Formats: sequence, C-alpha cells, structure tokens
Amino acid sequence: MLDSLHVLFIMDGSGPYVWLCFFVLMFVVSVNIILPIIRMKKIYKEGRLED
Amino acid sequence: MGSPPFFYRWSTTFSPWLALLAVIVFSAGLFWGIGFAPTDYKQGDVYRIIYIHVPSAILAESIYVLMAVCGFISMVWRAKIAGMLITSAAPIGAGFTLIALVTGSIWGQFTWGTWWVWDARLTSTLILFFLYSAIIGLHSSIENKAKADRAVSILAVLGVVIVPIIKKSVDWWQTLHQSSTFTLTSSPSMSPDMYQPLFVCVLGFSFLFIFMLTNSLRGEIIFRERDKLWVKNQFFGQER
Repeated sequence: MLDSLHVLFIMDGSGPYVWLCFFVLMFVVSVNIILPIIRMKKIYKEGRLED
Repeated sequence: MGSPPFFYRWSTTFSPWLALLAVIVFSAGLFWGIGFAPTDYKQGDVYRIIYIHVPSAILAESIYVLMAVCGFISMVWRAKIAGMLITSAAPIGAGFTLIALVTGSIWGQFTWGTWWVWDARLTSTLILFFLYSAIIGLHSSIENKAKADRAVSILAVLGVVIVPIIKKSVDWWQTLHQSSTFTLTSSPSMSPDMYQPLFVCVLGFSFLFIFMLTNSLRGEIIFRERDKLWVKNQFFGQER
C-alpha cells in the first residue's frame, strides 16, 4: 500500500510536475468557490446591519 | 429561467445536487487519470498533466464562447440575467485559462526544456487570459451596472474571434505545441485507456464549472437586486 503510494507521488521523477499542476488546479478552483460564498455572507451581513 | 428570482429559487434547490455530482465526476476523472491510466511510452508519467491541462483549456475557450452568446443576448434582448452571467463567468474562465497556461508551462518545462515560448497557441491563449481580465476590469470600473453590462457584452462578442484562432493556431502556424488530439472527423490518436479518463475529466470539469457559475451568479443576483422585495424576503428572511 505504502509502496504504491510512493510510486504515485514520485512517478519516476515526474511526480513534482504532476502534483504541482494538481495543486494549482485545486487552488484556483477553491478561490472560485470560496470568493462568491464570502461575497454572499458580506451582502447578508451588510443587509442585516442596514435594518 | 431568464428572471433572477426564478433562477435564484431554482439554484437554491439544485445547487447542492450539482455540487455533489461535480465532486463525484471531477474526483473520479482525476483519480482515474492520475492514478490508474497507463504510462506513456514516450513521455512517461508527466503526460498525466493532460488530465488537468486539456479540460481546463477546453473550458477556457468554451466559457468565452458562452460569454459571447450571453453578450449577444444582452445586447439584442437586454436580458438582465445575461449580463450577470458574463460578470459571473469571467473570473471562472480566467481561472481555467490561468490553469491551462500554468500547467502547460510546467509540462513544457519537462518536455521542451522551457517554461514559455512565444508560440501561436501559447500566445493566443495568453491573449484570451487578457480578454477575461479586461472584461473583469471593465465591469468593475463602471458604476452603472446596465452600462457595464453593455460594455462587457460588446467586448465579449468582439473578443470571441480569439477562440477559433486558438483552435486553429496549431494548423495555421508552425508551433512547438502538438496538434489536436481530438477532432470531430477522426478517431483520437490516444489509446482508449488514456482518453476515456480524459473524457470523464472534461465532464467533471464541466459540472464543476456549472456549479461554480451557479454559485457565483447567485451572489451577483443578490448583490444587484438587494433592494428588491423578493431578495429581502428570500435572502434576508424579512417580511415587509
């Protein structure tokens, strides 16, 4: 199990390239999901304060 | 569907299911592609970047086409939701273009030995990223949202010319970038073991985009209609 995980992470030296791409993807996707949620919360707070 | 209150109500019901579907298909595609697809005999395992790079590039172009269609609808029929859709889709499109550029650059460093070349495909994709940035910047710089919608609609419609240029760049010019793996007229040049997970990834990325767009569009609707009674009732939960 650990051996196959090691193979998956290292990928004969290509691992750092592939996983770097994966983290770039996850970072950009997370930003695009989280920012609208933060915006909605901000609008909600401001709307509540106005009343 | 074109009315903001209707869309908001519809998305409140379907958004969690859409999120679940997106997470399942997106994870399955990446898990299959990165973890189980066979190793390429020429490039080794680094080719697995394809499962991130290609779906992102496909979406980067498709989202711009969607924005151009919305721009046309917004200009001709003045549909409010079309303008909101452009504003909501632009950051997501810019994100996928950025992913395509960065992952392409990382892949290029491994296979070509350089992070960047002023190649027709790379340069035209960079222009697409600038177009997305221009749309985001233009919209946020105009206070009157109706005017801002009109301005970005024109830019979206005019800028769509970049999409066929990106698509055909590898045929029209001598480029370092490889030619299209998938065409409508011929079978893929990849083994089925490799392109099947790629199709799942494209599908997963598309579901993820629809979810992100719905999420972002809900925020845009609430922001623009925050003084309307239906928003006060449904979003703020106040009866007036």
